[in-house]
Amino acid sequence: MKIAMKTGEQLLVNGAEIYRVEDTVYRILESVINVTEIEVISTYSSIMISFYYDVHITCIKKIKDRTINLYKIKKVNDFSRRFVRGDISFDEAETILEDIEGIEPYSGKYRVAMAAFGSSMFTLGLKGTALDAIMTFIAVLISQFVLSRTRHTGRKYFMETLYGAVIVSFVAILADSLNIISNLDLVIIGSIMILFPGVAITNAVRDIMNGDMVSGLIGMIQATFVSIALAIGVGLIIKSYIFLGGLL
Amino acid sequence: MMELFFEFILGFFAVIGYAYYYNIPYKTLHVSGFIGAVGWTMYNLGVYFDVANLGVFIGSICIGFLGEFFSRKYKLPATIYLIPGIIPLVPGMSMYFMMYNIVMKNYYEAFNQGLNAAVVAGAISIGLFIASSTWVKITRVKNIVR
Repeated sequence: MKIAMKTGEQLLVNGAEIYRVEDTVYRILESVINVTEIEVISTYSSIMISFYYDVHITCIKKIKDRTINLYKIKKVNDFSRRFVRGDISFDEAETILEDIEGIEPYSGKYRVAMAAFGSSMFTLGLKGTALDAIMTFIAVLISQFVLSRTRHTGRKYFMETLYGAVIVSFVAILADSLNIISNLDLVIIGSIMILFPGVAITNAVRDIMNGDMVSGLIGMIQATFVSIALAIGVGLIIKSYIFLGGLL
Repeated sequence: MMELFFEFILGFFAVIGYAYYYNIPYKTLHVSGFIGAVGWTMYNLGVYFDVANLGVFIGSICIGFLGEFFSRKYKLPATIYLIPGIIPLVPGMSMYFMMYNIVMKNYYEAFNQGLNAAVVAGAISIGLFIASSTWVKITRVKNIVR
């Protein structure tokens, strides 16, 4: 019970699709003897498990914050396969899951640097010049650094995206007004790519096509709001720059 | 041709950067880079022939197939390859221009770009869905034949 709940929670928190969460939890419960009438329902913000083991047992878990951490998904996937095969006892399973929860494969600094590197390569790919790419690198570096330093204050996803977009477009406009970069649009596009909820939108549409309507709709709405936050952030800066007399 | 090759290399490194950000297991970084680069090259081919959205669609089908293939090969969940793979195809550009045109009060152009963004997002997910469901069918047929 505990194990199944923990597995589902780990998958969901780290950005797995809904059908993967439901399937994995179902298989784990199925592999235990004497458990029948299993039902698993999951949305992006909660998991509900119900099964029959002498009595009916139901458990509900609320998920607060979701990120994307594919390494943990891989680990949980390996774990659940081994558990279903019967290689792991219950006591071992709990310690393994706790280990997975605390794991961090790469340090934060390198992750931010690589994100900035990827964004600058993307700007180059959109036919930007080398200086554009360097400015993208700097913009993403600054925004991700500020965001990761202030994450412990407990912001929600909306404000986080908004701040990210504001910082990115501020840096880009500053560079543009100093005539460093050739194309403002490309720098901003490259830099907001890392904040953009493209993965969320795509996963949501896939959920809907798989038949998980509720989760798909929740995902769509969240992605829409993240896009709105991005638009507000970038628009705010551009608008105030024009208001202050700048020319684009 | 040379330019496409250049784009392929750039896409490769861009996707590796994003993949690292999403904590991809270290051993498969180059695979996800390759998958993303294929998708990005397809998109650029589409841009070259002036059918960008078709390029996105075909690119995401390629990503879906390659992702399923490599996920079987390395015994990892397919999501690991799909999420970084689709990142370059995501309609960030259209979203940005939509917002920009709203600020500039060109509402007609803003609507165009917004609709384009929705179409591209739909194309990506339908492409991935087609690829993964076809893959399931193919493996099933293979098993029956065997």
